Amino acid sequence: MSSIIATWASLPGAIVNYLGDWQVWVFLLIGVAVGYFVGVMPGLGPTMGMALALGIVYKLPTHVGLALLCGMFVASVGSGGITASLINIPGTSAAAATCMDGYALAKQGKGREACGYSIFASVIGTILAVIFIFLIQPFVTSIALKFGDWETFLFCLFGLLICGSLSGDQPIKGWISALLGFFLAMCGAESVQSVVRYNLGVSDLLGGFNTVVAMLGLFGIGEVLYTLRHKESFKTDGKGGFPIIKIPVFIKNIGNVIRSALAGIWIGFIPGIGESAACWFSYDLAKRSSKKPEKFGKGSSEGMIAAETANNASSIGALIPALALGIPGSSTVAIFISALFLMNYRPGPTLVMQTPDILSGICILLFVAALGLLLFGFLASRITLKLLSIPESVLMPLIAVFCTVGAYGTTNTPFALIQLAFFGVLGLVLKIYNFPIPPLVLGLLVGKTADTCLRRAFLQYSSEIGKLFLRPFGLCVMAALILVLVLSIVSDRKSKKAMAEIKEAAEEENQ
Amino acid sequence: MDKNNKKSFVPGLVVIALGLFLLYLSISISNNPVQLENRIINFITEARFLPLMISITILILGVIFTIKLAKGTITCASGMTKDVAVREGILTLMTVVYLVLVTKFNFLIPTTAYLVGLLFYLNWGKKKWWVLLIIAAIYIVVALIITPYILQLKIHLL
Repeated sequence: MSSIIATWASLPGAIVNYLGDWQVWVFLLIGVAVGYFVGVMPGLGPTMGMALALGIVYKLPTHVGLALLCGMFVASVGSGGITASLINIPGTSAAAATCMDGYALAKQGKGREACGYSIFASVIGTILAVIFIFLIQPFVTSIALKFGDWETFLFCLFGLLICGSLSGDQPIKGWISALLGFFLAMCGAESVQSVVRYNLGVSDLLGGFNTVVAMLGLFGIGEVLYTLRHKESFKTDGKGGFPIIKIPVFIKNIGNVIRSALAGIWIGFIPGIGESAACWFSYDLAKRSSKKPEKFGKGSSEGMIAAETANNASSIGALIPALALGIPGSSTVAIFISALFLMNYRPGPTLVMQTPDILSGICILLFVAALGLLLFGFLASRITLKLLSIPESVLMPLIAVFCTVGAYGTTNTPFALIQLAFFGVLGLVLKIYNFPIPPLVLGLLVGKTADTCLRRAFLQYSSEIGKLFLRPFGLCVMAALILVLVLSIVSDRKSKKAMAEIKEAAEEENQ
Repeated sequence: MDKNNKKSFVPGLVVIALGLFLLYLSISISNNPVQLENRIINFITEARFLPLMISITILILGVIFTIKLAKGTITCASGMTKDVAVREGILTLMTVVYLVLVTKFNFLIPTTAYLVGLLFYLNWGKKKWWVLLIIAAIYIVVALIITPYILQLKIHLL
């Protein structure tokens, strides 16, 4: 209990440490600005934006690097709804449900109102989720501290299983993708007996694949190549202007906001489901509990608020397993924890206990970033349509070069560029054939940990193997994981069903 | 079986081939230097155990995937027309060649050639040539000079 209180007690000190540094403010605002840009631009998105930031964060002081990441993280997820509302193209996959009502509002001449709902709901969703993880994370960590090698292996396995089973409507592709990532993660010298595994005689691969370079390839180069496959860019029309934020509407929707935030956090907590499922799940919940369900899809403020609150809460909720166990809940968070590794933190059970101010610091930065998004989103929405008119064919070459510089800068070895090419082409092929990439990233991140933990657990219990399977905590973890697996499959099916129903209804309406 | 059905399960065969390749790589992993007496525990703690399990699972999934593709219960088509495939191929080739060239000739010359080539290829007929050159020059300055200078990234220009 004392360690939990110590974590909370570190808040005032962290406020002074983090917010007392002017560089933190500067890079947080840069992060918000860049995050806003990548969030509103279809084809860029939070994952690519944050992957690009990986190439530079390790060069910055820790506080400053975290500020940049947190700014980008919040703003890139939160701003996707603006594009969804203005041009009916979700800037991020998490904003897909926002198109339904946001664009309907824009067509009614209420585009500024739609942007207002989108930004303010994103900010509220983020803030509620930040408060929630600040309160709950020390408890989760104290449970995670009881994890031995066996339990950690089980959790990694569970992440892979669920990530595959919940990715898209073809789970077999998710599992293949996850297992491929798992396999790639084990390349190089392993840590139990230093046996070298399939490095193909390349000495640069003795340390394995660099996860930062892998992400720059998968989400950067791969995405650039995939986006540029079509000659025509999207068209923009509509009117810009300052967003209109209607506070009384939010006060009226307080129950909807809290419900959506909690649903978002829950979905974020489960590895592999992601923000896009969270927004549909909450949208459906809001529709079912609304007094005016017939308005959904025709410009309902309730629908917009639910979707935007949930997708932002979900992205923050995904930090819970990431910080406690080192297992990312989403691809964006996978990049976030890779950045923590680069900054010499070790996400996992001991992270919060060894550096209690890290949780407070991240929460403060996310909180301020949410306020920054409110300010920036308000001011920048006037130029959003101009930003959207930049053709991909002009923008993407710069992204490709940034990925290259970032990959090289991360390792300072030319071999990083060969890895970048490999992962770029792999990402492209996976995208072309509709194999989900987040399971591969999850496999890549947890593969080595799972392997080491499994082998260490068996070595430890080699003389009495029955005891390994009967470890009370391991049994609890297994039971809990099976329960979560069932619940999450149910949640996922519900969100997919809701998405299908909502889209079907909208299509019928259009006809 | 018509031509489309024949083509439809090719991605499944690719996954099977991948599984076989990974299986070969897993089998090639050498034994642990320190062996345990209990053979089962020793097998599980071998460095090749998980890679072996994964490659076998990929192989099994590959077979299931192929059967499902052949039956038409799932789809795995790229959906690309010939034009898009050619364009995609050219872009991929340019990028891979660029990355390989940077490892040999450092950043400045390959990046200049890549940016100019890519911008002209993607925007030919849409933007004036001198505008594209200016954009390429700005990108080079931003990506290779300003950003590395601010962040103190060590990249070799020439």
